[in-house]
Amino acid sequence: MKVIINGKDFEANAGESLLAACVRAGINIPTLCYSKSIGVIASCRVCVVEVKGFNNLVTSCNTPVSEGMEITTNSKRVLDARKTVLELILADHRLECLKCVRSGSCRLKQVCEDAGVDKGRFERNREYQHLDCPNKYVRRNNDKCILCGRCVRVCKNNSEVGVLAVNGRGFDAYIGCAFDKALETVPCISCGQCVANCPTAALVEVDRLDELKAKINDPNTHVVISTAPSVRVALGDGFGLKKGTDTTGKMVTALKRVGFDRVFDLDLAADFTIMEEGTELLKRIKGSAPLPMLTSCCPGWMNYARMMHPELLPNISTTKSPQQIFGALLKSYYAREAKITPEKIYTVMLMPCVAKESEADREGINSSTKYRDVDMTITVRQAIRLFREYNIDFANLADTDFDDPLGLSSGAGLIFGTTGGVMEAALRTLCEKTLGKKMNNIDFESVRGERGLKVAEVPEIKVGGKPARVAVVSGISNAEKLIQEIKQDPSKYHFIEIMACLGGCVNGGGMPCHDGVIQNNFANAMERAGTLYHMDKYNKLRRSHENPVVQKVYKDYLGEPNSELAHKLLHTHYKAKPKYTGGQPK
Amino acid sequence: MKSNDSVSKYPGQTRLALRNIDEIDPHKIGDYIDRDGYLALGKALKMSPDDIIKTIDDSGLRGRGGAGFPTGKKWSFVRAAQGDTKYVICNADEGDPGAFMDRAILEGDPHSVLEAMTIAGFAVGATKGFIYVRAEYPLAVSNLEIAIKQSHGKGFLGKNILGSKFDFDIELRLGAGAFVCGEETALIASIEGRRGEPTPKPPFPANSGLYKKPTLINNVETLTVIPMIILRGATYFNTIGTATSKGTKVFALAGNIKNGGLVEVPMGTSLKTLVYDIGGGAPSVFVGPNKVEMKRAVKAVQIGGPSGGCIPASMFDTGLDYESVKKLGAILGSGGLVVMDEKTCMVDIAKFFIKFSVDESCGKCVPCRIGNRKLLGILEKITSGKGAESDIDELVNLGKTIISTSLCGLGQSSPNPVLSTIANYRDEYLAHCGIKRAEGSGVQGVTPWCPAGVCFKKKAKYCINEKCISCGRCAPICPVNAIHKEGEK
Ligand SMILES: Cc1cc2nc3c(=O)[nH]c(=O)nc-3n(C[C@H](O)[C@H](O)[C@H](O)COP(=O)(O)O)c2cc1C
Ligand code: SF4
Ligand code: SF4
Ligand code: SF4
Ligand code: FES
Repeated sequence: MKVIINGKDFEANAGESLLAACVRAGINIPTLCYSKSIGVIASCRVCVVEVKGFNNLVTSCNTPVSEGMEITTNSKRVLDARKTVLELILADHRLECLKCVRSGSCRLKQVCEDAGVDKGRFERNREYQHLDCPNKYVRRNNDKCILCGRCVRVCKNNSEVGVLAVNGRGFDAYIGCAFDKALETVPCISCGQCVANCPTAALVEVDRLDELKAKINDPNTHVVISTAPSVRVALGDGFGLKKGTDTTGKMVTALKRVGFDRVFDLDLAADFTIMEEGTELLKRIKGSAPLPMLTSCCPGWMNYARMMHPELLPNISTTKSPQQIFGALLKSYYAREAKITPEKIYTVMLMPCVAKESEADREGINSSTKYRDVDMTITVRQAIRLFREYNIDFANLADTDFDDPLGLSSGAGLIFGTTGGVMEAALRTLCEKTLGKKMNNIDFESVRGERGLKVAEVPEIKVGGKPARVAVVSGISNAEKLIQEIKQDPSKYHFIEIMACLGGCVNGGGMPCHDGVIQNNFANAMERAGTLYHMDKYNKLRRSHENPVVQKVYKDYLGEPNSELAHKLLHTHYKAKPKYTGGQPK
Repeated sequence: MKSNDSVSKYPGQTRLALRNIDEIDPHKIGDYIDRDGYLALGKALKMSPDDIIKTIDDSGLRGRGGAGFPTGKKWSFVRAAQGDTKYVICNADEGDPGAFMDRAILEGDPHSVLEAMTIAGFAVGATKGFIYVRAEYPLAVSNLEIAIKQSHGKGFLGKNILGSKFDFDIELRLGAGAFVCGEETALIASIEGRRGEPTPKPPFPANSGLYKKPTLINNVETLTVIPMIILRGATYFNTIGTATSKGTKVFALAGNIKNGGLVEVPMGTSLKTLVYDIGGGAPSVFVGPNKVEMKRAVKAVQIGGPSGGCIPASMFDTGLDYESVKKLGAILGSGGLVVMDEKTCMVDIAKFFIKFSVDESCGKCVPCRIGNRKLLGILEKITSGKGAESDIDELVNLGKTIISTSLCGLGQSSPNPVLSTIANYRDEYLAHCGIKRAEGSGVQGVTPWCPAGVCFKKKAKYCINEKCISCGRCAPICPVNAIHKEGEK
């Protein structure tokens, strides 16, 4: 379909938005509320363009192209209008840009700069309010909120709970929870999707970096960090590297420079998860506990399950997540090997996730010492800030290998970072164990890709004489649909992988906030996933059960999967959690 | 029960929409039937949907809810839209604070709306209708409930209506009274139980409306004339009015006017006729203990409510139809018409309407949420004597940007009162800023003042100087008896 953009003919696709057409035509239209994965909100109005025949300006994010449309994106009228809209936003915004954690990644700042905003025409009419303080994981600061509505949308559409809403109206409208309760006291699953999608610092994860630095500086504390699979393909975003670049070696170097005593690979713990969870599944198939078995490694999902579906808790694998397995092993096996008292070890996990902190924090999760197995989690965003602060020229670092003895992992552990990865890793081990021989092709394509729900039949594994049926979902809203399905027919699937974030951890709530090219944010995550599969493909070690470190730890320490010690250290139990608690209102 | 005593009886009106008001007892379906009620439904059910739509189209009827969209065209869009389920919604939110014609119709002639919705349902292929009525209209709600029940009883609603194969039912939905909920997409959100916030168009409700199904939304006054058009034919309607605006329009006369209330006149009737012949002009004011009559001249009218604009008395030859009014920077809107006399300060009026928009904005989009607040701030600055001419320019600039960038009709029209008062009364704005046009060109700086004497409450007092010859003429006409002879009290 022919359209004219800024006087030039352009072949647009029927049904696409003016914004999409302009982006394809190489024209950058500023946007604040629109995001491809969240969809059209049309609240910010900075994406306006002029269309011949319309009296008013037209928002490009929601208006579809039509034959012969004449679009002007840079007339004086358009540029002035955008500037005015941005100046209106700035008038009441808490302008403390120089001491803001998002100062380097603020979408609002970027758009203002792009639009040439160079003064503030309007007076402020608002008293600044306060942070929504009591929450432990996500903090809100409405003084920096531009009411774009993204968080509201993502919390409902991705995370299903919809605990964020617009309260009040008109100039007094603000983001809040029902009855102005604190985020911590409503069924927030701490997924962090709202944070990752917020264009400003109105939503941030709780920051414990000062505590971390004190630990690193304390000579009597042995600080170890392990890095989740998806982190290594996302850190480059903070340093101008191509999306999805594998930065494993640079990441290890950087963490060493920050001063961590040991840098380990969390993918190894994923291999342990597979050994334990796989064994558990085979036992369940024999009747030890109900099917379908649901994975437990995503804490966002676990928060959801504990609050919204306590009836499903018996179906959830008792195997801990890689993070918690590693924490327990670090303060038991590793402490013994390294001859350090567990109390002196401080365990940090570098995660793509905000909910991971809620997991480490959960009552009943610890099994190694009387302290937390995992002392702290930090997000990818925080790691990027830490590296900057420590003068690290990340993009130009040389590579370093992970430390022994917990630095070797398989490709199976690596793909945990994307939706379908846990399932594929488990199937590799389970199929070969059942067949009793190596398989040539261990790429389970049917559970790969960005679709929200993926299903497969696995002929190698039999349940009641028939091929096992497995399902993979990402995004809690997709999970909820599946849960309703299995309520209707509990025998529909035998094993289900659930991730709270759409696309899995590569799109986690702790990932870098989406940058300039908003329209491609989900694509960023898929780039990361692509790199993970690529790295797995060329990894010599692609099966969890073949990992020599895994084998050694079982031989020297744990015994065998699901042994008594393994149960003590690597398994857990879940209790239902009340949806609402009596926390103080805002 | 009598419906509404504010329906004006003054001569010179043409009653189509208000044809049954006060003529029937709204609780008696028989009264409605006696005045040809439900005959149009019977006729329509024997017509083809396309013929019905053609009749409406030929009648030239345009939406009375504000935008003036051709009704027949809207019906044909909904009819053409793909979908197994479709809905008809009657917009009875009546958010303009100065308008109450919809209430009068719902209270006094509810069956005409039910009949019209049923005809509409048949024409567009819907079997379910909703009336979204504001909860502040309890009498309208109860009269509608009674009417729906009676209509069911007679087989005008429900299954196989009048022996045809057509089923139709109507439910009420109560609105919480937010102005923006009258905007069609916000109204739909509200019926669905979501926050009453507009969503961008497209998609238009005709294609994806209530529960994402094709939905016809019409205003009460639009609907109420439908049975009459079907029964008497398109020409009965389209011979009244102007070339582009057919039929009649109900106006709610309010403000400084002798004969206030609802009046219905043919489209194209001049403001002069409406304000002076029917409305009787501005009433005199009797002031002071001596009740001295002060005659007041009409200065302007605000038409279209907070989304509309002001039209100065010098332009009262304007015929009231969609296009002519729009040309003057106002809108016909729902027909609210506030008359203002010479003692009205136009800056103050603009501030009043902007305050309304600030309060009623849903807060979703930036220009309306923040922009209107800034307009208010600037107007407050001007009415407190701290404004400058650049502030007036900013009002115009910002106002135009709010219009061209807002998401829904509220923001897109909210600056109209400011822009139209500046266009017609710039000197009043300048006066507030302490600027006076000098003879010839150029301006001169003076102390800020409010020509209508409304703003700057703390005014300097007048005093009598040595030229006074003690004639005493001023004393009896002082409205507050502020003048007395020296030495006397
Ligand atoms: C802010 C706003 C408020 C509105 N309020 C009303 C209302 O109270 N009643 C109404 O009928 N239409 C109202 N409208 C117009 C509706 O959106 C819609 O155009 C109308 O109901 C369509 O019916 P019609 O074609 O019969 O006029 C409003 C529009 C806006 C933008
Ligand atoms: S962390 Fe997740 S669940 Fe909690 S408010 Fe944000 S998006 Fe919603
Ligand atoms: S908190 Fe952030 S994402 Fe949510 S509305 Fe405000 S600016 Fe947008
Ligand atoms: S124009 Fe005003 S009322 Fe309409 S969507 Fe925007 S903020 Fe809401
Ligand atoms: S309105 Fe289009 S990006 Fe916000």
